[in-house]
Amino acid sequence: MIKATHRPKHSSIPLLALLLCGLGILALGTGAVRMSPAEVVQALLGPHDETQARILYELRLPRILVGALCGALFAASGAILQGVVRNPLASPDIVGVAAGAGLAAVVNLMLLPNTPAWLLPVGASAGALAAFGLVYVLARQSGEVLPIRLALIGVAVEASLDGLRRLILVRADDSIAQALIFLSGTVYGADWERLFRVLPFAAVLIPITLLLHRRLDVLSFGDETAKSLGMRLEPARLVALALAAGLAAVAVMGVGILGFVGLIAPHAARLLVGPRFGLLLPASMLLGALLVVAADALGRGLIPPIEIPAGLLTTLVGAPYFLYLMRKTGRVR
Amino acid sequence: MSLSTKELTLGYDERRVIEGLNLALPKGRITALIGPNGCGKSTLLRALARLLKPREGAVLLDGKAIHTLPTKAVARELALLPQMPQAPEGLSVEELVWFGRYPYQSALGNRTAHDRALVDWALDQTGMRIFARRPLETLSGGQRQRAWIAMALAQETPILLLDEPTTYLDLSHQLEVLQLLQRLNREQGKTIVMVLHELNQAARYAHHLVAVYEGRVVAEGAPEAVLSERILRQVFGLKAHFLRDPETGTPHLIPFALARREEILEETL
Amino acid sequence: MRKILLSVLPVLGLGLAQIQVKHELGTLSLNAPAKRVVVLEYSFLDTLLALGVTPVGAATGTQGGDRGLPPYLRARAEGVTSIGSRAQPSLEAILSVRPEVIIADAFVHRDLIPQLQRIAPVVAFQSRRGSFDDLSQQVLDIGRMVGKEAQARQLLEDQERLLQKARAFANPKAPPLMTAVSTPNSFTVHSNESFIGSLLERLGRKNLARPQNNQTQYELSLEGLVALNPATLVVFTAPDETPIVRSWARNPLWTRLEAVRRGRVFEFDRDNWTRGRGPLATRFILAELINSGLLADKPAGGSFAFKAP
Repeated sequence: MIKATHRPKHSSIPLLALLLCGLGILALGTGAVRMSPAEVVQALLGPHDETQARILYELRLPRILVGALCGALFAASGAILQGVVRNPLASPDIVGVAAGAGLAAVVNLMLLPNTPAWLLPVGASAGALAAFGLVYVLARQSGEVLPIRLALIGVAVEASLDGLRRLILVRADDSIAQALIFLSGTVYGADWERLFRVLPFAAVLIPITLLLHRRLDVLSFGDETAKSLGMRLEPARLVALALAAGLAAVAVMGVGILGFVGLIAPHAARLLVGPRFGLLLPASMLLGALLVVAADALGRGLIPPIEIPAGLLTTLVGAPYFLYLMRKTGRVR
Repeated sequence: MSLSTKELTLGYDERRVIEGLNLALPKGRITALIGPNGCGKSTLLRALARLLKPREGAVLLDGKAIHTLPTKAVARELALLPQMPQAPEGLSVEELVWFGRYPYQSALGNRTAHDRALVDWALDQTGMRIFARRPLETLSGGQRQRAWIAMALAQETPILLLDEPTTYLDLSHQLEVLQLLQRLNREQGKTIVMVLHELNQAARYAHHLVAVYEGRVVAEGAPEAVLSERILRQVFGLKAHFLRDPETGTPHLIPFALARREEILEETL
Repeated sequence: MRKILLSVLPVLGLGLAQIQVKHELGTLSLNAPAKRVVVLEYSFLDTLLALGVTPVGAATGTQGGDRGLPPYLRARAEGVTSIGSRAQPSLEAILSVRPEVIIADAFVHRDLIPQLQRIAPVVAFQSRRGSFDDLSQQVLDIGRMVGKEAQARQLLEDQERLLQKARAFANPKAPPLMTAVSTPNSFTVHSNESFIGSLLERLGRKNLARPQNNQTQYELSLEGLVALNPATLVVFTAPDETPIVRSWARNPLWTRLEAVRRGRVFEFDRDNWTRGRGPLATRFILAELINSGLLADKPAGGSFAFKAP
């Protein structure tokens, strides 16, 4: 008999948290003005150079926090979707979040060109939720939403909404393209205000998600098993999907559409701590935060003072990972 | 807890699969639903497990229509093992078995000593204790099936429904599963209802057979009574020699030919 | 006592402020000329350098399709600290050079203003979408901000003299012309209210294109171009690109253009002509304008003639 050795899965969580703290300190020191970790700690705690302290407190700290929070939100959203759809390739995009946000932002700017910059992401996340509503309604068939149907409809809706957005943009003013930069997924310019706009929503959605972890577990079984365990499948599925869409929409409000975070982070977390949401959610969120903070720090530190958008870097890492996943899952079946 | 159906009509979309069925499943016994592919036996089992809403009539659990009862309450009375159960990848056997306690847990999901005891008991009953930490996908087919049965046991239900629990297993694993079910019935008094393909296994392990053909029950009762030449011809289109199992005395058949269409028609007319 | 003093000080400061500059966001008040200035557009950099002031930081980085410093500015801007690109200047790089004033574009940096304001007072001008007059006014405003008002006036006077000189070359009876920037995938008309359009009008050459939907610059297709059928066409391209207009020139429609038939299709460097927009750029542009024969409505010749494929 094979005796599998098992490291307690819980130990990953504090480890990841520690890693995130360490990365945070490194990231605080990275950018146009470099600081060693010791200098960072010094500037935070002790007597310090004023410019350094301002860079840390006013620019980098909020930026790292927004990145970490939104990375966590995307990852939680992806974890839920991968569970509900029972497909490791699912990500927030399959419920129309990205295209919905993009289209809503464009329409918003066409109708109300003077929308203040901070309000635009709010409109975009409303669009993300609306797109999810559309996907859900279309995927529903005789009172049931089958995961595979949801995934296919999601892809179709995503493509159509995105097409519509491009169509509108062709005729649009170049100031609109200018205002849409945030959609491409970047933590650039994130400040305390932005953090405080995202935080209340996150503070509601994340605890709810964590509270529902056992329901999410049961949902990720086959439909028959979930029902025979006494789960009312459809309402539970709707709540889970709405939660996933909401988490992603709030993340869009903070950093636009950061590609692949919602796909990679939960998948890697599953490899680390297994499929149960009690551990999977915190592990995914920590990994999502790590990913975005790392991408943003790299983006700032590679060729300063030029900034590479974090979304570009996460996509650079994400796309090959996705292909690897496709090949791997392809082989199993 | 008794399970029965009253004027039960089932179907998918336009197609009716079961029509006006009245059936009582004997309590504390093993019942096997038999019949050719597509006869409606799996559909019937799905309705008994509340997975399928009746078109008309009802499935009754202690006289109450199962679809009007709270879902969690039903989950405490009957457990289902689907034909190809799916679990999230990476789940260990013990984690799986814990989910059997889901219908009993509050929203916060605190685990009680009773929960723990039942999970341990289910692992012991199925001999899965030694595999408790193993991820499901690393187990053989028979072990995996036993793990799922352990989860159903942890659900602490008087009734256990199984959809073709031996399909896809090799012969020794088939026996392993059937003997486990037999023991659970004897020792725990569980009412077991399962869909079985193998007629000899059904005859040997079930107390009660229900033969389904084209959406109707054509015969039910003890294996000796149900497995007649006539039923075999009519339901399965087979001719067989009838022997007795030297050990249990139950019927054992050896099919030797397909019944000709005319013969079956003659019979039914 | 200290409290009262503190509350009175800002009022006093406002009264005492020697320098007040009106801009798109309001009025900037300075007690003393700003010594440390960060600029986020090339025209502001051009202006400061023309005034003999080196900014502590400038957005000269290449990112997001930005082509970096226009060639005419490169040598002069050597040694100016880059604080990132115009589209996404690095906020921490700006903070680290401790500016007293940041000069931003009212259109390009609209969404970034709050973040910039937290670092230092921000002055926003219409550079990208400004006309020649707007940009000239900005020379004065920037001059006052850095305590070089006299030099700024001198610059503008010199510029005016140069303009008069160029005007003498212009043929007043020439038909209206059209100006456009062409990249590998776009052809963007610069109307009479754009920087280059308004400069040419000032020199006596009417522009065929008016602003559309309040946009001084907008894209046009070959068909649109043929419909407008300018008698003189000025395209701005980059030597390292194959502009889309080069492929249009293979189309039979192209030869039907009045400007093509008259041999009045001019081609200039787009970086130098449309991206600098300061006094230095203007000097450079005027020189090329006179040499090219465009003002006199002569056929395009030499290096300024459109290079047909």
